[in-house]
Amino acid sequence: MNTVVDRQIQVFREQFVSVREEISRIIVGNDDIVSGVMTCLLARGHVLLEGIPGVGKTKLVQTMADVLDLKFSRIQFTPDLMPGDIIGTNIVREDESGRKNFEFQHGPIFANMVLADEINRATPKTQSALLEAMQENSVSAAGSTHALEQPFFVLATQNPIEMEGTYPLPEAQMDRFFFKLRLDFPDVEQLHLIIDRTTREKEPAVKRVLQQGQILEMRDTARAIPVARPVQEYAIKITLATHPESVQGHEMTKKYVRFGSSPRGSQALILGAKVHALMNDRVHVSCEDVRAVTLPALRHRILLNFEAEAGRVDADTILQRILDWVPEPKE
Amino acid sequence: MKDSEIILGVLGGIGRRLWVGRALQEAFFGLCVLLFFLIAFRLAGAVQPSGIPATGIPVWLPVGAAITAFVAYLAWRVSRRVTLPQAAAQADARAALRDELKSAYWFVSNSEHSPFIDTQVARAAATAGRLDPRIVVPGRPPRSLWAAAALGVMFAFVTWLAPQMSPYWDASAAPAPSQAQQQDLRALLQDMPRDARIEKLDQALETLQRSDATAEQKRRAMEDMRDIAEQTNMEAAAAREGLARLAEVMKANPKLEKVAEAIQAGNNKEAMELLEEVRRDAAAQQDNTSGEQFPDAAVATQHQGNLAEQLDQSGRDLSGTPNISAPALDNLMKTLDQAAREMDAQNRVNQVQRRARENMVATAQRSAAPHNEFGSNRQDVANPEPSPDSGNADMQGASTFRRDSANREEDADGAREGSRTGSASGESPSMALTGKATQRLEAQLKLEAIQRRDEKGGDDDKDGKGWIYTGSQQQASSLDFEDVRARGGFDRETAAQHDRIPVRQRQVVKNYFLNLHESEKK
Repeated sequence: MNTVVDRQIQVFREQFVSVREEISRIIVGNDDIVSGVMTCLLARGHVLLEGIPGVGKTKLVQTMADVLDLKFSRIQFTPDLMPGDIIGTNIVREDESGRKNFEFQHGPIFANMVLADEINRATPKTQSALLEAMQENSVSAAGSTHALEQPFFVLATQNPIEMEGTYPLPEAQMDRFFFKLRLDFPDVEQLHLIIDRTTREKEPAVKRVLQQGQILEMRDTARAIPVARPVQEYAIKITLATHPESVQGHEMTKKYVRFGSSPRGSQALILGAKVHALMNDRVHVSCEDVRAVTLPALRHRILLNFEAEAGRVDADTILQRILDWVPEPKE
Repeated sequence: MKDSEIILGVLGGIGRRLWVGRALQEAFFGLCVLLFFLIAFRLAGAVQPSGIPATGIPVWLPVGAAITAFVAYLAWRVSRRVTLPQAAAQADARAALRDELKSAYWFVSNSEHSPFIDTQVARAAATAGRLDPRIVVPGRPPRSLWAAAALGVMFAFVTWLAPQMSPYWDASAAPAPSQAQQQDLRALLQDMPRDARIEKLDQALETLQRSDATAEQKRRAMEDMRDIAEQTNMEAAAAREGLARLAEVMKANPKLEKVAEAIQAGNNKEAMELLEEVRRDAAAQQDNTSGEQFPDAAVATQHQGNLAEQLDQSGRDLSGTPNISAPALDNLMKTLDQAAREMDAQNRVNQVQRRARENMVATAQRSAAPHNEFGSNRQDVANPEPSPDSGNADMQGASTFRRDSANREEDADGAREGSRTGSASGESPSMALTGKATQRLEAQLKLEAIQRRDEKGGDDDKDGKGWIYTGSQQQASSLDFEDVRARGGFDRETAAQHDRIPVRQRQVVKNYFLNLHESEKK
């Protein structure tokens, strides 16, 4: 037994659990959302949170930022927001000798954890500035490139109700998000807890349980988890099943899907499955881990056709059918 | 032992058990298929129509080829071993290991190494070491075993039942009538004069009695018995006709009037007793008139020819003279005795033939032989009506009918068993009376009398009423039935014509269109 690896795995699980437990002191329910956000963080991805107003999207991100010792910034996207408001801009500074020069003023994106609130309200030009930073982990401005400090993690939120006056993210941009997580309305018990925690004199506070260096180590640990070929093939089959033109496409895919998932979807499946395996104290990725992360990893990467919209068939339904249909490898 | 060796060893053991289980499953599956086709073959053979070969090269060549191909396919399936990846997948699934062994085997077989891979393999080895292949792959009997057992039971059942179902079942294999039954029949012939036909009848009974007799021999024996019965019936009928004519002649002689009545009544015994009295009276009279010769003393002492001719000769001897000579009486009594014996022979022969046929037909309900093998064929039914003169008919059933009507006695014995319409076990006797039923005119028509007006009746109209014929109730009911039956066809014919609607449906169609237009207006 490799004690170093075992130790790494044990530390990973303990830290993961501690973060989740600390967040749960503020955020009621949504354990799977918290796990999903953590998975994205540890898999070097970004999260798109979708939910009606008031379900705790912003609160969740703020709480996470408090629990994790990360620089946090919030960007409220509005229609008049400019790209420079996100990435920063050059300003003119005069030194002591009176010489003037340009100095790049970092924008709010230069943080470890960025909350892009209501990203669909900004113009596509502004959206692309953020998305480029998400993809490149760097910002280009005035001919120079500024690297973003790791871990760099973006949580974008989207209000599915108010679509008027918004700029829905194009599918190509949606593909850059690792997971798309949906926050549901809390049930009765959860509402009781929410009221108890938020309407009293003192709201509970969280403490920092994870440092920046520890998060980076956890990221490395997650990436080191091996994946056997049969499991990888299983993830690929699921991805191909979302393509209507593929011979391995599911019949619902051929009926309701216009475009299937990109290869980023397969990457998200494997990376998410690795974190999921670690969370369950396993050093290998299983098909069960792949299935656990399929919906958040692929639901935003499938473009549905009009027939699906008319028939009110959503991506989750199609993905669930695919999971039931694709068999696990027998050898 | 290295982790990889542990894992491979455990997977090998699991693979072997899986292979054994699959081999058993395939073997019993093959047995199921084989039993299925055997059952189908058995059932097909039971209901197989004639003309389709059940044996021989045309059947066994393709069957043998199919069996060989199927066995080869099964052998190929059984020979395929369970690979280690398959064993790993099965072990993961059965023990809920979440692809641990599968992943470990892949890393081991591809010689990939990293600290995490090594850790994973070590953990998998520890897990494999705790696995018991007997628990992972328990030695349960395959499901196909139960199916094979059920099919085996079904096959045994069909094998036992199929011969009895088959209309082509060898009749010689059927149990022969009991020996006692056959002996009873032969006993009936023992005290009869052994002429050629009785000998032949006895031989036929012996053939039927033999257990090693083939179906063909039995069939011929039954045919012989039928021929003998027909011949006997004919001779008996001729004898009856002769007796009837003799009785008419004897009626002219007052001394023989009672004898004639007895003969006409069919009571030969009484007739013989009366003739004995007449002979005694004649002898006494001869003594009183000693030496007087009867004019017909030169009558032949013994009649020649068959029974009918002898009866006719006796009639000639008795006609034209009130006095009856002793030789004539003797000849007459001999002839009557012969006639009685002839009719007794007819009874016995018919009884023997009928009982033998009943025995064979009862057991041949399951035989392969068609019904006409025993001498009766529905399609060959002749006129069942008995002859008004001889009382004979062409059908066996008619002879039964004839026998019952001509030899009616007060005490019924075995010869009279069964109904007048024939034996319950046979098909032809019952058709004698119910086959071609001809109705008398008065049954078809009902005579109605109407009052004539202003006319005086003729000879057949003595009471002033006229006779007309109207349809009987039966005819009227059949006409009504025909009318009802034809009505449907009439409606169909009228409905088929596009420009016409059946009368009964016109109102419905009219209402429909009226309502349709009403709804359009709204």
